[in-house]
Amino acid sequence: MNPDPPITKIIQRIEHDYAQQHLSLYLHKKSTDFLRSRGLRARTVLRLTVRQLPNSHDYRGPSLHHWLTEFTVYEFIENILDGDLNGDMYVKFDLSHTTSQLESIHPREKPLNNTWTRY
Amino acid sequence: MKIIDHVTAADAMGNNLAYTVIELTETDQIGGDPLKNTHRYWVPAGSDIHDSETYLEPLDAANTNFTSDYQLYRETYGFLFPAEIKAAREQLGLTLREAALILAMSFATLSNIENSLLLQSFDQEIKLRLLTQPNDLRNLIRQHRSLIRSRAPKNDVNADKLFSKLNLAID
Repeated sequence: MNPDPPITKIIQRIEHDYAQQHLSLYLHKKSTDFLRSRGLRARTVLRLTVRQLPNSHDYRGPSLHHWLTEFTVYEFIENILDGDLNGDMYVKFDLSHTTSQLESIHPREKPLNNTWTRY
Repeated sequence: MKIIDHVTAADAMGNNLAYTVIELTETDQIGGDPLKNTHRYWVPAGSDIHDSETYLEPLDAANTNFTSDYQLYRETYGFLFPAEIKAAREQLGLTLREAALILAMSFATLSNIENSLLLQSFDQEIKLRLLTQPNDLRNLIRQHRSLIRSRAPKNDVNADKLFSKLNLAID
């Protein structure tokens, strides 16, 4: 069994997929309700979250996706200080061999525990 | 809630996954204000269509609900539309950077609003309205001329050129 790739490789992969326009949106209502409450659009926030990803944050993963079996899930808590997003954001990316997608973006709801790792 | 359609969409491996397309009318907070609108969602097959946690933005048109909400919000609350903001700015002969400086907004924010990437807040709407009221805008600039001049270089703006465009004396 291959060891899990280090988180820096995962972040590079997400940045690469974004640059190649292979990062799609698979957003749940909870996330889009939040974006609408702020007057934002998903694409604007996608750009912001990917840009902030290399900075130090917390992550959790890989884990299995509930029903998209070919995807591996990585979750991040990004501290974003921007005019439109301010504070700790919960961000979830799903990665397959060929593509990736943003599944969740909304304010962090729970305190961080020992399942999260700082990078 | 209404079931509109049953569709399939290919996943990353090319497998077709089934979804139920639903429409429901709901009241959301948009920019902090209530707005009632009808939204369309995709629900993965096998999920409970009454459980909103499973609802996805339409995979074939992720912007549909956003576009509809922001248009209705602007109509309901009398906000300027992106095209109106751009037209008013251009009517004054101002660049995005010049307008952002005068209105005390960031270049990115004004650009995002004009390009429909961001719904302006009420605070921003009040500022943007000045673009449609040139006399009020000139009075504002007269009052804050020295501050605008001081901030101009940092914003890549030539203050003399800016004042000249608005028929204001260059002091």
